[in-house]
Amino acid sequence: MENDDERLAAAFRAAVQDAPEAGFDREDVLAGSRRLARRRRMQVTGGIAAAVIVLVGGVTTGVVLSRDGGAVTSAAAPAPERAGPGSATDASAPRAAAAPSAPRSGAPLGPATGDCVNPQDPQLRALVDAALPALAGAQQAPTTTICRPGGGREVNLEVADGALTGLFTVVYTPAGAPPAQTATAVGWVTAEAPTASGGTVVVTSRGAADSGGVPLADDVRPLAEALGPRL
Amino acid sequence: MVGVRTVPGVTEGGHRVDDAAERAFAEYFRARRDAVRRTAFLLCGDWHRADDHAQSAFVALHRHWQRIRDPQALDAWVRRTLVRAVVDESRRPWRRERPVEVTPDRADTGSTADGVATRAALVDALRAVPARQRAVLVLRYLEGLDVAATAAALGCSTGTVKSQTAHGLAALRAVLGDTLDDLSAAG
Repeated sequence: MENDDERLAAAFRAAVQDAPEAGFDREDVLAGSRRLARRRRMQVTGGIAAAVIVLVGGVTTGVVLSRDGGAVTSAAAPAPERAGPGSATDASAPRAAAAPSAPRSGAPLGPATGDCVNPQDPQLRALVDAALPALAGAQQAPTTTICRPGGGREVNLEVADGALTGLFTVVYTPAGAPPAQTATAVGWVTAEAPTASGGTVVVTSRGAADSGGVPLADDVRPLAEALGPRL
Repeated sequence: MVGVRTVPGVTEGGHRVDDAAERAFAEYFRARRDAVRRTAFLLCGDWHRADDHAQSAFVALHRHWQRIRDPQALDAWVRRTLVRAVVDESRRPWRRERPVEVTPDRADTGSTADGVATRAALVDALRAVPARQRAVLVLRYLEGLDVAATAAALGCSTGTVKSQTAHGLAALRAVLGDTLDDLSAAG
């Protein structure tokens, strides 16, 4: 059996012994690497621009729909008391409520409401997905809900970047609250940025135990930088 | 302008490879390029596509070079990236591979005297083996990995590697018949 394996191995090696000259060299590899880095930077920039457009569009739509209901209201302030059953504003109410807390144009998202920090905050997730489209399909990582008051926001994702896998977290802490603990472990990549609302955003990527490195490490700093003005 | 502070003591998020790292990468590239090309060739059966896959794997490696913590893991990292890319490509609709019972006539494989034809027969036959099974065979018989290392490269269990090896060899035999034994003997 072992002899068979050796003979097969010899046959496999023989099958590749007539390799033609390589069609690429190190310069090609470096050029490809630079090209990918540029593309990734442009994706981050474009993602932020798209997020701004979506937010502005959402606010504008909300205001227009509210006008249709007979009174001008902010999309950030749904009016359930106006939209009672059978009222003339029934139809517009759900649509206006579709963006219940969309920030004003250009305004940062700011602190969340509620008693406990949501470890998978949907509004922060939307900003993150828009800023870094590579995360758009990422699955939510299992989290333990610990009730921390203070209006913070979090997103915890399981990510894959080529052969690298791991946990990617974005933690927003409002002004006045102590910022999230930053990583100190070797191999973690962390970047921290102040936010427009006076808080702090910390982006961290850490490799899984069997991952050869840290996934999306190049994107950690640009993402923190991109999210700062939006939070 | 928002100031960003990268926490000291951890790897910086920006993609920058310093001179020492570039030299190390150049050495690794020089030492491993041809081996990676050969593996890619047996995985996909075409030297042009093999070059594309190998180049892409090295590009990905260069981008992650600073952050691959264990230098011993470099080969495994490249191998995993390469296999995943080739297997993924084989699933794409425009290049989906279909195992065939009979490979196209390419040469008279009945004679092992013609070395080129014999080697071509093995490459053709490998193309008829399903992509995952082919990857197992290539990693085990070309790269010389044991069952555990093959399982690690493919992200599956050792049991799966054993069964894929058996199925892959059976598929190879189904195409090559006794020629497989000739190939083995002539290898």
